[in-house]
Parts: sequence; C-alpha cells; structure tokens
Amino acid sequence: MERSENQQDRINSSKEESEEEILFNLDDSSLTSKSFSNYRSVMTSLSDDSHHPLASPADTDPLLSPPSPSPPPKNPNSDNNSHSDPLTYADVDFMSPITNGEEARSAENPREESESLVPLSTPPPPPYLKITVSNPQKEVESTNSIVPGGNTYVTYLITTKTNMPEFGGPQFTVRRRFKDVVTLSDRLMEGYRGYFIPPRPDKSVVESQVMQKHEFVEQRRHALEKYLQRLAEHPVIRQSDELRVFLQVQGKLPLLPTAPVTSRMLDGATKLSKQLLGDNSGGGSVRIQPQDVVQPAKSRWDFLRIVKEMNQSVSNDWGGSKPPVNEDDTEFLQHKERLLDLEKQLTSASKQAESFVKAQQDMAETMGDFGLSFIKLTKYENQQAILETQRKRAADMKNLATSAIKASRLWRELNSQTVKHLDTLHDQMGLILGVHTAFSDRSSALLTVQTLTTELDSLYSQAEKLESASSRTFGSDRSKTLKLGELREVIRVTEDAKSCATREYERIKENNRTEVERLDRERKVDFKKMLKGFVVNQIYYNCGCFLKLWHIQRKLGRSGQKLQRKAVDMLNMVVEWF
Amino acid sequence: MITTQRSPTGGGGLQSPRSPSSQPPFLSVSVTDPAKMGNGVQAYISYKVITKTNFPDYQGPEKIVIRRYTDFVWLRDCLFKKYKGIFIPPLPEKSTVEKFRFSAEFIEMRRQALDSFVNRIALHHELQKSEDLRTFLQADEQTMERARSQDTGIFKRKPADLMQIFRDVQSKVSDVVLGKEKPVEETNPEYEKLKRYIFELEDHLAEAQKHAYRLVKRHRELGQSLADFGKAIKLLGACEGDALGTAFSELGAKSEMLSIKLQREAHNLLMNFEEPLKDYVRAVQSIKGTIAERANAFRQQCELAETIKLKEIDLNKLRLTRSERMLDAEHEYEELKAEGEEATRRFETIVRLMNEEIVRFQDEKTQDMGLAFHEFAKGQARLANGIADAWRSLIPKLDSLSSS
Repeated sequence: MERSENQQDRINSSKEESEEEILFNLDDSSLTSKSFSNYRSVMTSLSDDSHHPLASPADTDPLLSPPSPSPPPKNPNSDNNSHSDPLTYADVDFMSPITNGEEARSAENPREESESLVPLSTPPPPPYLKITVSNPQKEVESTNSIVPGGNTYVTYLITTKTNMPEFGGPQFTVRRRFKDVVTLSDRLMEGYRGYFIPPRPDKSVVESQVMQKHEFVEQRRHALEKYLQRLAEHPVIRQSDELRVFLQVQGKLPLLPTAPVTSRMLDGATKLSKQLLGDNSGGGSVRIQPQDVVQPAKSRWDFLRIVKEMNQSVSNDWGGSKPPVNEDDTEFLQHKERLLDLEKQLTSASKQAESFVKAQQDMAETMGDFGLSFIKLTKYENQQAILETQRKRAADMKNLATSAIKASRLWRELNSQTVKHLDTLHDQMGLILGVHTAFSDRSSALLTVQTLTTELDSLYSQAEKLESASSRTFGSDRSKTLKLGELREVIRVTEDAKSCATREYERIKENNRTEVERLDRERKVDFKKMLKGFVVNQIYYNCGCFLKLWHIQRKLGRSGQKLQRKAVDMLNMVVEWF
Repeated sequence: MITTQRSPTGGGGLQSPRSPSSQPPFLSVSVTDPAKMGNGVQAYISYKVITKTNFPDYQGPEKIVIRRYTDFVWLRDCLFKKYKGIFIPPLPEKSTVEKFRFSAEFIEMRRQALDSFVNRIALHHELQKSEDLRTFLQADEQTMERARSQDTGIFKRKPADLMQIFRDVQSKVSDVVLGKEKPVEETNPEYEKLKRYIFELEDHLAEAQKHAYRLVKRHRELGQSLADFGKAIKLLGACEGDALGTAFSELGAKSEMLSIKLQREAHNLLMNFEEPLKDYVRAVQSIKGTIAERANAFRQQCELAETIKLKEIDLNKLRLTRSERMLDAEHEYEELKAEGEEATRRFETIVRLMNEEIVRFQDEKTQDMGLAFHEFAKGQARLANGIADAWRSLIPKLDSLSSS
C-alpha cells in the first residue's frame, strides 16, 4: 500500500523530533482529493434541495451549507486512495462551486428569513430581479445639432431577468445612455424621499474624447451595473414604476427630468439649507431634492410665496451656526450618529481590505517568480551536472520550485475568493451612502414644517392685530376688511400646506425608520456571511492546501497519527459547521 | 559553537568539547555578541570570537578575542594570497548604505555570515592549518591591529583588483582585435566548461536570490496589511455592537496576531533561506577570484617558459663564442629554470587543489541548500498552520453568531 511506503520513507529520513516537527508531519492520504470529494458529495447532495429559501446561505455558497444529512468523513485514513502525489489542481477545482454560487447570491433576496431553518410547506419563489449591463456602443446625437456630425455618446445594453409579475416577462433588454440613468436617479430621489437610495455613479467632467476610451467605458459599465443591481435589491425601489419604465420601455426614456423651473427656483433655497443642515456626506453625492410639498400648491402664486418665505427664514438664520431644524427625535439622532460613524469605519475597513487583497496578490506573484527562477536554476544544474551532488541539489531545487509555483497558484485562488468575501465591505459602504439623501430628505421636510409653522404664527398675529384694529373703529373700514379677508385666505392655504408638509414629514420619518431597520438587518446578515466565508476560505487554503503542500516538501520523520487527526478534524469541523 | 547552518564536511573532525583528551583534533569557532563601539563616523561593530580547540599551537581549551569586520577581511586576504587554488569562503559585503549600517537586522545578517566564514575555514582540512587563522583566533587586539595595518598597504588586494585581473584574462578577444600579443590561456576544454558554468551559475543564483529577497518583503507587507486591516475591523466591530461586533473584534485581534506571525516568518525566511542563498552567490564569486589566480599562475608559467627558451638560445650562442659572460649566463639560466619549475609547480598545485575544491564545494552547497530548502518548507508549513489555527479559533464565535 502506498501509504505504508510513505510512512517508511518518513521514518528513514530526518531524526528531528521536536513537537513542532511532529505537528507538520501529516500523512498524505489524510488530505487527499478523496477527502475533498467527500466534501463535494456532501455539498451536491445539499444543493439539490436548495430551492428552499430558508436554506439560503447553502444554495449560494457550497461551503456554507447547513449540516449535511450524511455523516461527514471521520476517518478518511480508512478510505484508501491512490493519491499520494503532491496536491493536484483537481483537488483545488473543488473550490469553483463557490464562485458560481456567489453570482447567484446577488440576485436573490433571501435575507428576510435566512437565520432559522423552519421548514415551510410550499414557499413561494423569492422575487428575483437581476440586471446586467453590457455591450457599450457609440451613438451619434442625431437631432438639432448645429455642428454637423454632432455629439457622440455611449449607450449600454441593459438586460433584465426577473420572475416578478409586474414586468410581464422573464427577460428583456433595452438600450440606455448615462443621461437616462441620471434622470432615473433624480426621479427616484424625488419620489422616494426618506428611503436609503443607493447613490448613482458620478457624472464625469471629462472631454468626450476621454469618454470614448475603452477603460473609462468599462469602468462606467461596471459602476452602472452595480448601481442598477443595488436598486434591484431594494425591496421598495425594485417595485417602482420609474425603475420598471427604465428597464423595459424601448426607445427614448419616458421619464421627465425634474421640471427645470422648479429646480432653478428651489436651488437657491436648497443650497442654503444644505449648508445649514450640516449634513456632511463623504460620498460626494448628496442631492437634496427640494420638493417640499407632495401635492401641488393651490396656485402658483401661493407656492412661490411659500418658497420665498422659506428662503427668507433660512437666510435669516444664516448668521447663526446651528442648524435651524429642531430635530427632537433622540432615537433618530442616535441612529444618525451611529450610521455616520459606521460609514467612517466602513470606508476605512474597505480601504484596508483592498490593501490586504493587494498584498495577497503580490505574494502570489512573487512566489511564482521565485519558483520560476528556481526552475531555471534546476534546469541549468541538470544540464551542467558532472557530479552526483549537483544532480541531487537540482532535484531538491526542483521540489522547492514546483511547490512554490503551486503555492503561487493557490495564493491566487485564495485571493480571488477573499476578494469576493471582502467585497461585502465595499458594498455596504456603497449602501450606507444612501443614508445621506434619506436623512436630508427628512431634514428638509422638517424644515418646511417648521418654516410653515413660524409663518403661520406670524400670519395669525397679523390677523389678530388687524382684527383688534378694525374692532376699535366704528365704521367698517372697507380696505381693512378686504385685507383681513385676504389674510384669512392666506392663512387657510398655509394651514393646508402645513398639514401636507406635516404628513409628508411623518411619511419620511417612517420611511427612515423602516429603512434603518432594513439596512441594519441586511447588513448584519451580509456581515455574518462575510465573516464565515472569509474564515472558512482562509482555513481551507492554509490547512488543506498549503500545509499539505509544504509538508510533502519536507518529508519529515515519523508520522504523527494524533496530528493527522487534528488537521483532519479541523477540516471536518469546517464542513460540518456549514 | 558550530551553528545549525553548518553540517560537518570532511576534514575538520568535530567532536564534543567534553570528550577525553585522546580525541581527534577539533577546532570550533563562533562569532557572537555584536557590540557597537565608538561614536559618530568612527563607530563600528565588534564581535566576540570564541574558539574551542585542542590543536597543539592554540591556547587553552577556550579563548575569546574581540574582532571587527576589517579583521575578517584581513584574514580572507591572507588566505587568498597564501592558499591559491582553494576556494576561500566568502565574506559578507561592506555596507554601502550608511543608514543601515547599525540596523539590528543588518548586524545579525553580518554576524551570521561572519560566523559561517570562520567556521568554514576552521573546517577546511588545509585552511585550518593557517598561521594567519591562528593569529586571528588567538592574538590580542593590539597584535591583531598591527598585523592588519601592516598587511594593508602592500598585500591587500581588493576584490575589485581580482575582478580586474580576471577581466584582463577575459579580454583576450579585444586584445587580438587590437593586435596585441595574444595572452596565454589554458586550452583545457573541461576547465573551459567549468569557467563558463561558474559564470552562468552566478547569474542564475543572483536572480533566485533577488526573488527570495522580494518574497521576504512580501511576507512583511502582508503582515503589515493584516495589522492595518485588523485595526480597521476592530473599529468597525465597535460600531456594530452586540454579537456581531464582538465577532469583528475577535477577527481584528486575530489579524493583528497573524501580522506578528508573518513578520516572524519573514525574518526566518531572511536568515535561514535568503542569506544562505546569498552566501552561495558570494561563494561562486569567490571562485571567480580563484579562477583569476589560476590564470595568473598559468600565464607566469608560460611567460617563464618563454623566457627560459630565449635564455637557452642566448646561452648556446654564448657557449659557441666562449664569452666571459657565459658563466653568468649559465648561472642566470639555472636560476630561471628553477623559477620555471617553481611556477609550474605552483600552477599544478592550483589545478590539483581546484579539482578537489570543486568536489568539496558542490558537496557543501548541496548540503547547505538542502538545509535551506528544508527551512523554507518548514517555515511555510508553520505559517500555514498558524494561520489556519488562528482563524479556526474564531469558529465557535461565528457558530454562535449564526444561531443568534
């Protein structure tokens, strides 16, 4: 049996016997592809009943499946197999199911019931909306162009796959340009105030020449895909008309950008309130959409006047440094502070994760170069060998070199998995940026209410004065009566506006609350998954791959049965656990 | 004390110092305790050199002396001069960058290399008999200083000079082109092969060493990035709070711990793999010096042979004319012949020694490299195990997390 031959070899070689040495002396057969294929069979048996939404972590990531019905391999030693060769890539190919699974994860929305495993009888299929962006193409702006030849712009092919009934079809495509995305984003901001809407990709202040560069287009394509996918994952936004229209309606996008008159008018007000509200956003994509009333004002004059008043009250406070908004909801303020802190920490963690991933990549590359340089040395020594010692050295070198090259590949794989897991940090960071718009929606709504309240107070006191004045004179002063009438009309309109604004404010508050809950909940789920994935990944590669690889290299002393079992147990536990 | 890098080769004969006095002769040396001496520009590092031996000319069972880098250089130069044909063990380079001259790592690397150097000499069956070695190991500091400054002026040959000699030998092509007299070169095909082997080997080894050093750096960088990552994750955990927050904190703590393991492994890789590899490179460079000496000796021999021939012709002419200069000429001729024999003998010694040395060298390097590879694999395995263990310890925490 090959296994006993290996043991014999080991006994015959080095006599080092420190604990450390024994620790690394693992029998080949304990960590062979047979063990891995056991894992694999465990995984595939699980993925068969993986349509269960409650088994959600399982169907997306084979290594994260719940305990398998079949007994995990306790003694692979007893499973004899023919593999005593150094780790082959057949063993490591085992990891590929993870990559396939990861893609599916983003499209599904199984988060709501992911933690417990309560079986349901016939669960409805989870809503599924997957969007991909591809095939960028240059197009020419055809109409109204003074300059012949016109401007060029890029359109992207947006492909949607869904099982949601609103869309009326499982798959469809449409071509959109970046301007359309901006429109979509603006409309969503207006229409879904208080929600955590992911920020859209930046407009780029570049020349059209640069815009046509392949790299930039690819970057933008990727960013658009991420943005649209995030929208698709938001439980409320995914059902919006705006999104549906964007994804489905052929030809020109039938969404109007925000009415320019309104936005010009309200821009001044917004800018000031933005400065005063002190919402410091790190994302650089804060947009306060200034529609302060949901229902259109009774008359244009009234609306403008209200806005002017608001502008005035805002500018009156301009001298002061504290925000004019009197937010008294302490719970909200706590959440806000927490989320801002979280954003900061996420940004930092995300950055460090990037450095870490780069360092792993560098390790992979250098290990590979290192291995290659020794391959060259080996070849050379073999060519030139005159003495036996040279051949032996060449053989030793070859072992080292091939191990290093294998290690390099394993590092690369480890890293690509790591990237996928740690990407959660980037994703969460992106999601949390949506918080800023939601919170400033709230602030501006509150500001409106407070402004209108102040306005009403002054109107009432004006009315009182007028009334007391006119009651003192005996004859009816026709002009004063008229004025009072007008004033009372204004008061009525303002009262209406205020109750609208209050309703709007309450609505936004509620949206904020549910969104904070949702964000926190989903983030925790994602993070738990990230932690598990990351840890398992590291253990798998270090314990299962590297350890085995370098152990074989060393060909040390007597086999430590106890320690074989330790390493095997470690891997078993990892499998069982998931 | 012989360090773990050395494995006993032939010659030398290492025994435990506690064996009875009828034991075979042994010479055991160690270079330890680097200490900074002096201040400012004049500052240097001194080392303790401890000799344990039962050689007859050596003092006591144990002797300790203080030596500095230039003393080692002196020893190397003496040996190079007097033992032509033998591959003198290499010395670590002089430090070119002032900033790192006193860094702990540099000092440790140098100490290790110096220890290697002296031990290899002590183990070499010929070199260990050297008087200069004895002076180096036994003389008091003043004697050492005197010896060092004496030999500096006249005999000191920098490696640069040796390279120049060698380059002269190699520039035969240009000489021919320029119409100079073609310098004499051995026409031994085996030897040609050996020379080419040494040259190309140096290139290959230097490249491998470069990558090995980069690999050390990568370990350090990975360690650093893990430390930073761990810190950031811990802060993130503080933000999250409750069970998830604790999990993050533990992940962060493990990352920081692994960072330390990586730094340690980087150091291990440097000292036990990269340095021996660099040592290999230096050894090959040292052989080039010996090759140059051999070329020198060959040329001397040839030149003398030429001179002798000419002298013989001259002498015969004088004999025919019965000149009074004949006696003198005969005298000179005899002297020249003796010199010629001496030159031939020197050359042949070098050839013989080199043949032996090549075998010894290959043997030594196979052993040294075998050990270095072993250390490499052991280090990587240790690292992988450490990493797996660290992450594994998180599993209970993550387990409770998923059930919460």
